[in-house]
Amino acid sequence: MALIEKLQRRIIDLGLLPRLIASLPRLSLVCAMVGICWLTVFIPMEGQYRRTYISENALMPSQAYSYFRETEWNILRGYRTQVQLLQSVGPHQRNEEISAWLQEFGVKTATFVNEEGKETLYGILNAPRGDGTEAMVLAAPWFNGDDEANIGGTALTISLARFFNRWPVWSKNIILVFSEDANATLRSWVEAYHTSLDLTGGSIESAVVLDYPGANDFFKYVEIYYAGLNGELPNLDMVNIAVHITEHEGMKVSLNGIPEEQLDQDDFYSKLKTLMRGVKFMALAGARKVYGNEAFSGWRIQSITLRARGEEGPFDITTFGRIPEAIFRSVNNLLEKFHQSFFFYLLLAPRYFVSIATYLPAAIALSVSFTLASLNNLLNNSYSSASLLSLYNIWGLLALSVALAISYIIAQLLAYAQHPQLLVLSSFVVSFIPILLKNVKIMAPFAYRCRAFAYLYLSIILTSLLVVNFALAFSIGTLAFPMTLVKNSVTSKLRLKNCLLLLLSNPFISIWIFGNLVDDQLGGIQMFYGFISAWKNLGCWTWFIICIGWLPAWLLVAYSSIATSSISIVDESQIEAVKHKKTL
Amino acid sequence: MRIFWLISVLGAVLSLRGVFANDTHTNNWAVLVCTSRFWFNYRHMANVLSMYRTVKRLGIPDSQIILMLSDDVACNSRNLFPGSVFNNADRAIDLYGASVEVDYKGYEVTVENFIRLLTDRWSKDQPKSKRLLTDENSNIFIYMTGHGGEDFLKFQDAEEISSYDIADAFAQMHEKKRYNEIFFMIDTCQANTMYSKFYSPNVLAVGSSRLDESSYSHHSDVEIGVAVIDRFTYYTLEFMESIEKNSTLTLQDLFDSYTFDKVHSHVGVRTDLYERDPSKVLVTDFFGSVQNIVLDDIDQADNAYEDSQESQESSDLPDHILQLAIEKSRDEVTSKKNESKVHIRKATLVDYEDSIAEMSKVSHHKMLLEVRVFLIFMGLLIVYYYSRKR
Repeated sequence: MALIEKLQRRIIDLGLLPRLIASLPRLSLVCAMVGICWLTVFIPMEGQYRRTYISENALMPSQAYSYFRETEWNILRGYRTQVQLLQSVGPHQRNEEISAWLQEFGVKTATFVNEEGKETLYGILNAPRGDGTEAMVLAAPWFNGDDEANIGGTALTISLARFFNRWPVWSKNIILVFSEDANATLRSWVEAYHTSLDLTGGSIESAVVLDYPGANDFFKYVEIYYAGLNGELPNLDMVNIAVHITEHEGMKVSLNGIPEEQLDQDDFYSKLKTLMRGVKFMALAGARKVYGNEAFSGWRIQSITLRARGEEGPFDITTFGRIPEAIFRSVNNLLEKFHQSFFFYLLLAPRYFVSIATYLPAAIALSVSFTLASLNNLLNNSYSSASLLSLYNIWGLLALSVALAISYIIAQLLAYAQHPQLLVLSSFVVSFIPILLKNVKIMAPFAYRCRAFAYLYLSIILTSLLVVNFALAFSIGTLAFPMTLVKNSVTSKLRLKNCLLLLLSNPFISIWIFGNLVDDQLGGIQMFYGFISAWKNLGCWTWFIICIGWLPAWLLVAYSSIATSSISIVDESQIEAVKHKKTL
Repeated sequence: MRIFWLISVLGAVLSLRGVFANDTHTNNWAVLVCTSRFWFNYRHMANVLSMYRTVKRLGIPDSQIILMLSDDVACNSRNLFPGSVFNNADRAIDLYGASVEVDYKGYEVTVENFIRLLTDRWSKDQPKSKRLLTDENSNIFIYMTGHGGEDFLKFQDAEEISSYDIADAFAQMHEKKRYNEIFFMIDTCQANTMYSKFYSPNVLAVGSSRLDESSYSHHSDVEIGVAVIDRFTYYTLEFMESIEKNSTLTLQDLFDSYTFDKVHSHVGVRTDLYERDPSKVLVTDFFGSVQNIVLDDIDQADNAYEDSQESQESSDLPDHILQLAIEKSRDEVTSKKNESKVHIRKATLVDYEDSIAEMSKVSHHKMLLEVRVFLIFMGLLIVYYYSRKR
């Protein structure tokens, strides 16, 4: 105790606490900077990341020789020609035709029609000697994420099924899925598989989505997509075996669609790029283009999408087919569910990763920075002595509830009446509140408390989100950060500054700007439709979190930036003291 | 009568073999243990089945082999060759194809069962076929393989046996006179730690790798898709393939055959508890089934002479000739070996041709060989004559 006492005395002697309180704004800024730099500067540095490794002994990727070679090419070509002919036929007739092909070699088939009336054909190849309690999925959407006809992928899936049928080694069932698209239709099939379908093949362990658009025989390199919805990722072992096998077969791997010319780079910037690309894909999953692997999120299925890129190149389509072949033989070796390797990780290159313990401080620092900003607004003004149950606090909480209610209504309204233009426009207008409402004044302590609650609320949201969906927590933390710099609008200069800060940190404007800057697919207001449809069709929570987590905080801050009238409040304890003196 | 004659002749002839086999064991046992489960540990199953095949080939009968196999890879649905286990990518030998008697399989392979087996502490209803029915004249070969570490070997995926456990089990076996000599062989990571705690006499041990060293697999079969054998076992088998029942190679030859280049780890041998010099111990003393017979203290030849004196009057002459021959041969042997007294004589069941062939390898026994051949003929002649007469 003596030591602590001594320490306390020393702290008081030095006046550390007042100094700390005085420097809260600076500390908050430093925390945010540390958070951002942690991810963008520290992690891509040599020595911070690790080389990937296959953690599960049972997987043994590429230990068995892959036999999907030239002999299968003719079969594949045959199916491909037929698949091309089916392009002009309606979905139902086309599925019936493919179903007949599959039944020829013993696949049990069924079709599932979802609420939108879109059909998904699926078939089960029962493991000849397995117990049939587990399954691996091979999926080929008829149209891929780019709305291109997935001719190669479909033909490959059928010929692979025929090829797999000849092997007696399967311990898990193989499920083939031919959905109309890679988006909602595939997602609805996955949900139906786990809830209502009659023909099932056991719990799905892994899913590989094949994306080989066009009818070309040759391609250049392979893209692997792995980001799932709501921050979910496939087990790192699944990505590792896919990378390992692809490179083992001699092809180059591009993670999340990194351009071909950047594949050979191995410097700080390439790692940073890959890292940030992964964060972007995770944060925007669902809202962006959907590749197919996202459909399996939420069911403990390790899923990836393999995509062949380039029309011409040294590799033929059977080489591409050997990747799923080897992945299936590898996963087939599993005795337990994927559990050995990381579920939370960021990749810096196909063979480099950082695990959750290394990258999490980035989001934690951002979250702490909001807490410090909140403390700053609570302590660093003349109203800090107001009691906990003072009117301002209660008003502040009430304002937060009102902001939450408004946000919830906006979220719901947008989902039904999709007018994101209106949303962005109104956000724009509301951002100019400090200038527009020149004559309205609110009480200064109220403004401080509102901000304190707003930052605290956002900090809580970020803290609860940062493990589950790191990318989203980090993005929201970074984009909303300007919010913490808002001060009471006393002068006209401050008013203008506040307007700009509000504009920057508004959830809708900010993601709109961000989306347009970093992603060529999310031009204009397209991304809002993406978010809303992801929420409605795919069960992706991003839109909801932005509306319920980010927006209320912003609304409170916006409200607090209205011009204030300073009042003098009397501290109750001072009154007590005065009273005490009088009685003395 | 005839049998009596035969035995005495055999006894006389084969006592000459004592030059090499100066141990005192009369029966051979093998305990072969694979402790790891799962398909990806295919090679451990293959290791132990290869050893099983080897000891069986060299003559240890199934009744004296305890085979513990913790998983059934042959019938695993992932096995491209159902019902077969191979220890080489050439797939020349199906280890599971011939009759394989697995005594403990799957979840029966536990530390408890292994210790109970060694110490023979069982309930009344434990079948004899699953017991190690050894005595003080038994040479036991114990082979273990699996995943291990410093002073432990993993059993299944749940438990471990420590080096102390095995050492104590051996001590109990020694107290209960359950063995004459033990040859302990282990192929696992940091295997040499496993025999470091032994303290019972007459235990010879060899391990595949020393402390903080891994033992590696030798190669994979690209069709089966798994590694099929470990390096240490692979080179042990390579050596064993040159061994026949009548081999004169010794355990030292086996130990010398292990090099770091081959095994990729440092093979360790522990001889301090072992009385004999490994360079004088035949490989077949542990791997084969050289079944010596222990006779009682009474001199068999004299006894035979007396017996014949008592029971037969008419066959004096052949008896006498044989007796002379036996005595003569024994004199020669003792003079060569400078042995004062031979109480126990060995009669191996190795057939004549084998023993003759073996003897011919030893040059300074050439004279002896001639005598032996002569004696055999004589003996046979007498037996034949005698039986005809009856």
